[in-house]
Amino acid sequence: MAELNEIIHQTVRLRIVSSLAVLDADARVDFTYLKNLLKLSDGNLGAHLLKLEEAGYLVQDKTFVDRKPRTYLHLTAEGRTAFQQHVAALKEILGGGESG
Amino acid sequence: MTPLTQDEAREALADIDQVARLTRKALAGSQMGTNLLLWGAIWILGFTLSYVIPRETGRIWMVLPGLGIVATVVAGVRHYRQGMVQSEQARKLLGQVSLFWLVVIIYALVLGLLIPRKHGVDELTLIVCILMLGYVLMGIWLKVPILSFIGLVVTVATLVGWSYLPPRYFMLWMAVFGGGGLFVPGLYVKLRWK
Repeated sequence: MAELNEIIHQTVRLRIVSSLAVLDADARVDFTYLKNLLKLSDGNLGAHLLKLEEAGYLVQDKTFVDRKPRTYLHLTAEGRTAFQQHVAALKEILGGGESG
Repeated sequence: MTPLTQDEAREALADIDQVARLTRKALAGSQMGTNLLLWGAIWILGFTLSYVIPRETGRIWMVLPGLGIVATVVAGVRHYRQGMVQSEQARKLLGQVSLFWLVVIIYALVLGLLIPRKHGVDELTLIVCILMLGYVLMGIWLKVPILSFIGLVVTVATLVGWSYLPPRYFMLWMAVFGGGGLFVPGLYVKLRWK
């Protein structure tokens, strides 16, 4: 039976991981792009990314593109699995309700 | 973790689904919107000029699509360099999509030139219908229904204009329904899918 993941379930983190999980497994997303897409502030997104990074679910790559600093975000295999298990747990809650 | 109620679980799943759709749309829309606007503008200009100066129709359609292809490539390279989302799979897909369009354009031009016709309008109709088949197939392949929808609507509009209008007015019709059929959805995608 799949278990809910406390780190991922927080609303903002769930949205971050949902967005990254829909991309190819090797995809890296620009910090500003994700911030604008999810309509978050720099500080808010940064704080939640740190939590996900500490859990080993996400990697932040800081690099330079055309001499400008850029941060790319990448969901790890562990993060992807944790997200899939979390979704499975959510579906189980609904499935259990529908059958019972 | 505190157990969730069914309503909370349903809400979380709906949120996941909504963000996934938003992300897919934003990714598909950024480049697609630009291309639709660009080709919509080229068609509006090309067909309007063909209506105003019919004797130059051949020359207009030799120059404008060439400019469009160059502009599409430049916009594509620029978009890739901005690198909002980087992925090896996406890079490969871009190569496959480019090859797909190259094949469709070659088919359209070769068939347009080879198949016997009574009037230049027949040639344009055939080329537009083949290009729109490309849109329909792209929509199915990339799971972007709006592309298939555009392809079908513009094909039907083209065939209606070709069947019922005199050649000169067909150009005006195509500026509105062909060019507009690309430009308006392009504007919608650019403004709403972000």
